[in-house]
Amino acid sequence: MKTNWLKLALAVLLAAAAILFTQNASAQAAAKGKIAVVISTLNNPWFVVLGETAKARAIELGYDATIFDSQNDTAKEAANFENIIASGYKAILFNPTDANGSIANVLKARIAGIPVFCIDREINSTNAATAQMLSDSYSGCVKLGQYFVKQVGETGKYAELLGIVGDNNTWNRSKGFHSVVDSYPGLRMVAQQSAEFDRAKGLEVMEAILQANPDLNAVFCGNDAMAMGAYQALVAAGKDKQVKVFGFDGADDVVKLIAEGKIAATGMQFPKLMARTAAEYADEYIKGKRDFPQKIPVKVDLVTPDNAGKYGDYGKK
Amino acid sequence: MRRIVWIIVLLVAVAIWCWLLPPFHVISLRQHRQTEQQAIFDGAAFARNFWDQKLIPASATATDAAELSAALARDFAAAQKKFGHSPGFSSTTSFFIKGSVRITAVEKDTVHVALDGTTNAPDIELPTGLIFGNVVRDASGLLNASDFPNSQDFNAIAAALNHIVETDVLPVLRAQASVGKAIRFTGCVELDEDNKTDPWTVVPVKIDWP
Repeated sequence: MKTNWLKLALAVLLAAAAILFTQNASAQAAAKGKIAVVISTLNNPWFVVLGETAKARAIELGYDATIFDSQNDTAKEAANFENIIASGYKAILFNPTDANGSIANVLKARIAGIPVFCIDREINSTNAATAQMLSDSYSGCVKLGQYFVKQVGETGKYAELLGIVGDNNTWNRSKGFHSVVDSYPGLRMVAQQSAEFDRAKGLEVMEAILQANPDLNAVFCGNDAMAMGAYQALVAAGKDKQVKVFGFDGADDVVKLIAEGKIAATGMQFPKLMARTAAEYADEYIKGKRDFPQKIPVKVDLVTPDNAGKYGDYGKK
Repeated sequence: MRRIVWIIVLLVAVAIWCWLLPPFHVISLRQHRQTEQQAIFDGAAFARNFWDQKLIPASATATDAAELSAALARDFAAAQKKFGHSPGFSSTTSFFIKGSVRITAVEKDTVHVALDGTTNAPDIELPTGLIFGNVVRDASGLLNASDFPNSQDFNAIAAALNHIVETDVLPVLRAQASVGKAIRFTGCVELDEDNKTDPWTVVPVKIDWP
């Protein structure tokens, strides 16, 4: 009986301690303020990793953090910004939807005194965001293009799946790739179509391209979600061994397929590094730092079957 | 009659309104095209100007290759910081270097050279085929990504500078290179701490033939 009472008293004490600890942590977070994480779309696992990592790092640094999904829609993004500005957030970690269309939102936040740190995607302005942490997509796709020529050879037919046409990453990747591949006249691009960085659309577009070009040798995809969709279409058509798939992002499922020799290569973008650094920059800004470089390029690594074992969990192991 | 007066007054009022706050502007197609052209960044023109006005004049201040090699051997990180440029997060650093070398081998797309009077010098390769990437744009540290609102413009400069190397520098190097010849080069190289022992692939921007 006595033991039961002791157990009960201990449980009550532990519960009280837990409540006090939680209250203290919440009070600390409330004292430091709120950080908003605005992500272009949560319909792609890569962006989920980007958003969740930024949120987790902001919480580690003592802030309340909330993720807002813009659903690849600038109107939805504008509504998110209005909500954030009205709700007294101290900083915004921002993955823009459109390089031009998102500038107005960033400027609104700036006028309201809220610093904005762009992650992965840029806005076409150097005086709106506080800093922009950007994958060096162009250089990454130059390396990918060089590897593409080695794997496919100097002659052949290939297709390109583009991302969202209003996003600079789409064109930096495409132009980096073409800066190499276009030097080989024997490599002929038979189709170039947008699949909007989306896996389902990647599958759909690849199916249509295969109908018109059954003798395709390779496909270059502007991100790994589209590469997965394209690969799925190739498997369904029984052409996964004939057509080499090249992606970009460093998504876990693609890195695993590269290690198994099913996908040719991708570019590792380090989303966790970018997201964590953006949260740390926001913390530094709130503490008083102001001199941030405007554009901070983040190197992209080429991942092939030779080195795929060194990569995983959206970074280098 | 009164109705006609009212209509005239209304028309005059509308005319004044349209004159003060025109609902649309008529511009010629030529004018529209000119405005569009002005808004498009000309990477080739920028690169040519940068090459002539800044990069080639800066070759006088490029780091001596033998000095860089010795500094990297002593302390790779310190040498990277002192002589190199590595904006943002990257394991690679680019260097703008010069050196006196002797040609040791000539292949289809590469001229191999050895640094004069230096022991433990790295193997140096001067590519003579197609040039890709950003090293020519980045090695001198004279251009900064933060100065370009659209990174596509910054990347267009890299492609245009590579094209200048391919058209202005490499044809002469390809034509005149032979084993045993001494040359002085200025060029751009990207080095990675993880691959210290790899040969240096130096994209030449200037070759002097004694």
